[in-house]
Amino acid sequence: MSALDLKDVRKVYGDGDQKVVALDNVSLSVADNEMLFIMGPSGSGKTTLLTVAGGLLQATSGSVVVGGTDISGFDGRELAAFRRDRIGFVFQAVNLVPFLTARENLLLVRQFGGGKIDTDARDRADSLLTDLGLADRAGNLPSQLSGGQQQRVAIGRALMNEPPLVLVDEPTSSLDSELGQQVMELLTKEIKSRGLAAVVVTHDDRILDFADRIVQIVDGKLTSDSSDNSSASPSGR
Amino acid sequence: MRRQAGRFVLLTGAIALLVLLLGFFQTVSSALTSGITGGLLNNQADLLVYSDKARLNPAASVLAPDAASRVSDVDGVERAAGVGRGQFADQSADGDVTVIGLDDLAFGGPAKVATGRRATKPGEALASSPDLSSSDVSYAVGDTLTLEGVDLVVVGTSDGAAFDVGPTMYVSFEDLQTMKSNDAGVQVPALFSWVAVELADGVDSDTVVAQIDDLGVPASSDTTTAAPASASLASTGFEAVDRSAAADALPGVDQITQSFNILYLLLFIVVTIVTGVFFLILTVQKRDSLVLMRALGASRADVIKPILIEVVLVVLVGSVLGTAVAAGLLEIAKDSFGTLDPITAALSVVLILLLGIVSSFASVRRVLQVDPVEAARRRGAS
Repeated sequence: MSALDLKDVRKVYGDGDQKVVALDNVSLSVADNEMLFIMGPSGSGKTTLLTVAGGLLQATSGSVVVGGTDISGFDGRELAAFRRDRIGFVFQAVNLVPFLTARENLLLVRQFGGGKIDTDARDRADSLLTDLGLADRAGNLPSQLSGGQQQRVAIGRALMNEPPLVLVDEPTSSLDSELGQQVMELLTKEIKSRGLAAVVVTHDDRILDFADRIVQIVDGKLTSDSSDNSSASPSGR
Repeated sequence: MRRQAGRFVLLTGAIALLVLLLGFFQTVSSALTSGITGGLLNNQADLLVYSDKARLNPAASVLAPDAASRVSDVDGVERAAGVGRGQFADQSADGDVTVIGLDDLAFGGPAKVATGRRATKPGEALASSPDLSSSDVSYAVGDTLTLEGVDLVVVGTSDGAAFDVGPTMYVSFEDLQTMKSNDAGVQVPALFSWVAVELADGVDSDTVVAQIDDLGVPASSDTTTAAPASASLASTGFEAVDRSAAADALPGVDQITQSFNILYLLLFIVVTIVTGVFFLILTVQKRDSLVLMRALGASRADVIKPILIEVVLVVLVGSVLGTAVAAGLLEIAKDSFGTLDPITAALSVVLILLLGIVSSFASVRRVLQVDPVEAARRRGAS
């Protein structure tokens, strides 16, 4: 069973003359424990692909199966529960709740759907923050953290509910080279050590070494699939 | 949350101040209207019977001496007694005193006596207790006063028993007649202002009221021999009402009630707007966070519930705090303003709480409009 299976997925915005095809019959499969990178120019449909896979948008047609569950017919409430339990998101921009501390940002996702913050949740948040090198910043607000530290908190939050699939949008876009490498090393380590699958959308060539596989998308169509990423560095594995 | 604590404290304080103001308004309003209506509302009588030409104004009502006996003959009436009314100057206290003359000193006066006892004979008076409306002129048990040549000694006091926003003396009808005659310089006819009625147990008030109203104008009046001119005034039909209706119909009550109702309405509107705008601004400011939470899997209930809890907490704490401070301050100044009515205060808190929840609808609507996909579409540093 794959972590993610997209089959003939189309996403069309608007209608008539205003119709825009964001995804054009995209079929894609991501295996467990695989890090798939999606590359493409601006407006190529990368983020749309990510949002459809993560249940933030419903495909116009085609099927989206995550961990064996077809979410194509889910309603808003079912999609919210699906995102809460099955997906870990790391967004490019709005990523942390500014009035919550790093630790509270991790615990936040445990409260959704009537969940309680118990000792297990607190231990897991502390453990993740320690793994991410943020144990001493647990009580800091996002504004008191650097860009790299904020991304690390977002990664921790994405892993908090132990989702089988992590979706990452432009994780290094606001970081310099060195910080970008550090964040990617950490992300890869956490994903791989937990045996999770991840889809990373990026146009940053400097981090391609961390990919198990790279697919290109142009005008909503997948144009190439590099299943043998020969340039992958050891640190990316 | 910690960054918003200051704002929540400010809103709670603002609501507390508005509720404090509301508490004062309600108490002052109650004291003012009590100064007008207390004598009727806290009366022993179940019904009051006026002349049908008086339009429920006790000052304009004139009834013949046989009015009480005619009313007492109605089925369901346990007891009926004539009551007269006048207003005289107390030269020593430099103030006016309303005098209620009771044909039966045991019936027609205040239902409860606060200190001392009721008057039992001419020369004695039961005085209304001092309140906001009569703080300049007040009487206590043992005080003496002379009204139009009639010496009175205060033998008791009663709370909320005033008429005409001033001190009120419940005396014998005989003393009242003497005062009126001394004031006029001639013997005036003994005419009542109203008849106080006690209903028999278990009778229907409306039925008795209808029977009294149907008594109509008597064929002849007993007063014709004593004072023919006044007899025609007294030869009228009856209009019976219960205490509450009688109090509501008193001149000035409606105007005071309406004025204060407008103030209450304004305060409730201000509370609603302040709370609604505060939470709307907060929601707009938190929009990015709400988008993120929805994207991460928060249901609509997950993001709406905290807003409603915050509204309820802030409004409840603010209104309880305001009520507590108002009650404390009014307790200190109870001689001037009276005390806060706990039932009115509790109802106000409940109403403000409901309005607070209503005011949060705009915020909730905003939250419901949040599209979680925006989290993925936004660009830039977090």
